[in-house]
Amino acid sequence: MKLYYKIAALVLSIVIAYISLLYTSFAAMGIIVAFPLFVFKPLRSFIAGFAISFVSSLSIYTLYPLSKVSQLAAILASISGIPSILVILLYPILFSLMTAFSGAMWSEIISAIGKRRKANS
Amino acid sequence: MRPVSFAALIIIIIAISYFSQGIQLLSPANGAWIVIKSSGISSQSFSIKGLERNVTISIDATGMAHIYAYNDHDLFFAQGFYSAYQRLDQMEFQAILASGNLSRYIGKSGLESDKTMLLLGLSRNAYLLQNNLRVNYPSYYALIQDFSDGINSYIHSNYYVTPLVFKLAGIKPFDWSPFYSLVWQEYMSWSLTTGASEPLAYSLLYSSVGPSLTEQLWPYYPYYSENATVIPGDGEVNNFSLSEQGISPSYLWSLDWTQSWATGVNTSLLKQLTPLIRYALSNISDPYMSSFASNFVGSNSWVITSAFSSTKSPMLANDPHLPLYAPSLWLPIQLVDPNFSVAGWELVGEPGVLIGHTSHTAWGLTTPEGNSANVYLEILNGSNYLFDGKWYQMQTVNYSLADGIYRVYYTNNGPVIARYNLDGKEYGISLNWVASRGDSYDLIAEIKLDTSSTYQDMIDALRYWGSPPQNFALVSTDHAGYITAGYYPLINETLPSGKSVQVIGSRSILNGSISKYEPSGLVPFNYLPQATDPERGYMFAPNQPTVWENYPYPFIGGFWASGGRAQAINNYISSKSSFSIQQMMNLQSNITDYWAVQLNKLFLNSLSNMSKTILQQQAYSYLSSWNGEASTDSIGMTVYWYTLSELDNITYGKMYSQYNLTNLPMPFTSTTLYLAINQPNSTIFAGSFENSVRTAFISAVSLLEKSLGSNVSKWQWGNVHLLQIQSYSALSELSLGPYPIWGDSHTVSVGGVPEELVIPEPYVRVGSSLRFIASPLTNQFYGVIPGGASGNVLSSYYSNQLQFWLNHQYYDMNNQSIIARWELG
Repeated sequence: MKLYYKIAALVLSIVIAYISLLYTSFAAMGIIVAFPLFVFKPLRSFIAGFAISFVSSLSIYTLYPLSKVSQLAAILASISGIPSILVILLYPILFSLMTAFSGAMWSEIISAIGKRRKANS
Repeated sequence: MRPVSFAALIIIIIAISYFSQGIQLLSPANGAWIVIKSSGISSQSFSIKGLERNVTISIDATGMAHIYAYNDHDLFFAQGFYSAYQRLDQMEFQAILASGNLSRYIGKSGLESDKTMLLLGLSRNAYLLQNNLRVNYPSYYALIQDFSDGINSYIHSNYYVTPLVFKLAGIKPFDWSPFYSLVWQEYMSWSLTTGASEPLAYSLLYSSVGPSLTEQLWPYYPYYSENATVIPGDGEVNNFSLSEQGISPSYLWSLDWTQSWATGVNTSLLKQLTPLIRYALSNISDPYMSSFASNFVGSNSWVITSAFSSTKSPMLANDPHLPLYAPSLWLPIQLVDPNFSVAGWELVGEPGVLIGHTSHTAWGLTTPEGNSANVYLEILNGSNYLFDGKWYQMQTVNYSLADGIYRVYYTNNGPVIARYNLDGKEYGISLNWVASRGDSYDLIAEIKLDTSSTYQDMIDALRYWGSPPQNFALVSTDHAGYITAGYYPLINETLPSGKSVQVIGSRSILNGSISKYEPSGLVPFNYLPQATDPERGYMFAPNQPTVWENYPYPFIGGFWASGGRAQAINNYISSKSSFSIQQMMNLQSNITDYWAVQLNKLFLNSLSNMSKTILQQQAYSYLSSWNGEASTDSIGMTVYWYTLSELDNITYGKMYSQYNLTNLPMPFTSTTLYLAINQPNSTIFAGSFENSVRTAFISAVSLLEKSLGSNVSKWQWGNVHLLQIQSYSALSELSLGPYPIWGDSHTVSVGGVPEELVIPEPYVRVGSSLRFIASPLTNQFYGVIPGGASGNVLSSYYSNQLQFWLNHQYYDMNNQSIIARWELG
């Protein structure tokens, strides 16, 4: 696969990640975010997916004053009984894992389709 | 990849997907975090539909919003928009609660509250009131509609941010309507209404301990209340009195008003019906809200005439004691357009300013504690009730609730709040409440007050005030006074002497099966308790008796506060030769317990010759050097309070428990004081007040030692007496406190808790919900609330005024810098 395809896939994945994050609240959207990453091999797709989703979701917090994020995290932590840091990181972690595993999945599926086509031809 | 590994991958993805459904709340852009967006206040423009012209909202450093519009429509629309921006979740919760829809939102735990609201008929009353307003006062109704439209405009705008509680509960806002403002009015009205639970409780006590003891414990007028009524004098109003009607006040007040000649109910039957009375008491108490705030609602207000004022300007002070919630029940606001120029506090969810001032007038509210509701004993037979010898079909209203259909029956008197079978005969208790008339045009009165420019304008405005009756403290640039405005139903009574008199309310349950005890009208407006510019130079209304014994319409159903705050206010003001704004503030922050100062002398007398342990001697030393101030660092207050609580426990508590009356309120401290002075050997004190005090003191010291240790210097009042300002959502994370807090139930700056033998005391949850001081002639207006304007816990305006409130400081309402300007258009 040519390099610019790979760069385009990364950019597309980042764009989809931000669209998903800004317009939905479903971590399962990681499946769609991960789709362009099929151009990579499964392990690289996994790593790229995790990195894109983790960084993009964490970056959303910069929209808010950090002191308020910390204040709200403490409130939500007290209500839910989980530590503050986990309140902040839980969604990014799940979104990232979703994207990572989905990336590996898409990569496997596309690679399997490719192999089958090759075998059939 | 092998198929097994691929399948594992799919399973992992499905598992993450499934698990992630539960964490949508934590989505950085669309989860709970978005409430941060509405936590700051900054200048901005809002493009919204529904305004005729541009509106400016300037927000000052205290968080008060100053709304400037070109017409009334835009003014009230913008008020609705701003109120929703700050307090939407609170407003909607209040509406849900009051309309009996709580269980739809919080599940079955809200069912009992819903049944209480539906039984009381709050939403039914609100619908009736809404229709009457729409038909009879369309121009005022239009303003209420404008306010609603403003709220909905916010909900449907791009500026809407889901409040945190809605996010947590997964609730979406519903569209507001005037009905919701009115149903919340009904709720507040009910919470301040006297005449339902009081006669029921009195009946229980009466039927258990008999007339003599009941009258001793709960006299018609609390002990020491003479010369401390709201309206000075003997009770005459506008040249009308009992004497004018040929009735001697001393004769009338010497009668036993629980007897069957006064109520139409045989007292022996009443005794047999105690289960029915208990059901009724239980059915009309709101289980949801009573878990937040105990029933210690009261208020303070006083006015100073121009003759007594150091600046020759009439002055007013008001601090309504209501449940202290986070966010507050009040929203600081100023409304300005060609017709309005008013500043003060909106009762959140209601259009206009309920307590506040114009440039020429100011007003405040306290609750008068006289019956505006009555309870009736009904004879029932299935779905029929007996009236004047004939059977009538009861009206039924069905409500669909989560646990099935909830049916409310109505007699001619109102809803049947309890039913009971006795010896094959069915009895019920019905509630006749003035709010069910549907003509309590309180919002019209409020809007008229908001446009008042003279004292007479305010009086005229209050002709529209219905339920609950309120003591209105009024000052203008040249007058000061009071009127107890609202609807007081009258009952025609024939005295044993044969004379007839119209009275307000009843001491106990009235006979509902005959027309004789039905309400025969309302106290005419001109004869409502009222006075202007009294000669002595001041008046005060902290829930004590409204008028003295010669009032033309005797308050038989008057269940007044003990008058401790009234005595403190009276003593303080009367000790001055003139009064200044600073003294108004000093008085509002007074934390001396008037009754404690008197009673502690008797305690010390009783304890002086008692042999004491070292610890008891130390506690006694603090008590003997104590000046009656309930400050947070006072140890004497702690020793006094627990001694008093134990004394109550071994006297009234013992008697109450003997008759299974433990849910009834304990007699006042003033009653204990009176009995201690006049009947120290009473059976209430087991024959000796002195011995009872000694026993109470020993127990109190022992309890304090057990809980706080033997170092007496740690027994400070602030360690056992704490304030918590609780979120209506019941989430402690959104609450404020606990804070060590001064005061008790009888201090002017109130910090009321029940006298319970627990350490620490239950949290103080009722108090001065706002403090207001006004002097229109000198254009001085000061105020503070225990919270802030914002309902967003992340906003600095959630609690920015709290520290000032805790320190008894005030904001100058005229002189604050503007921190943000909103342009609405």
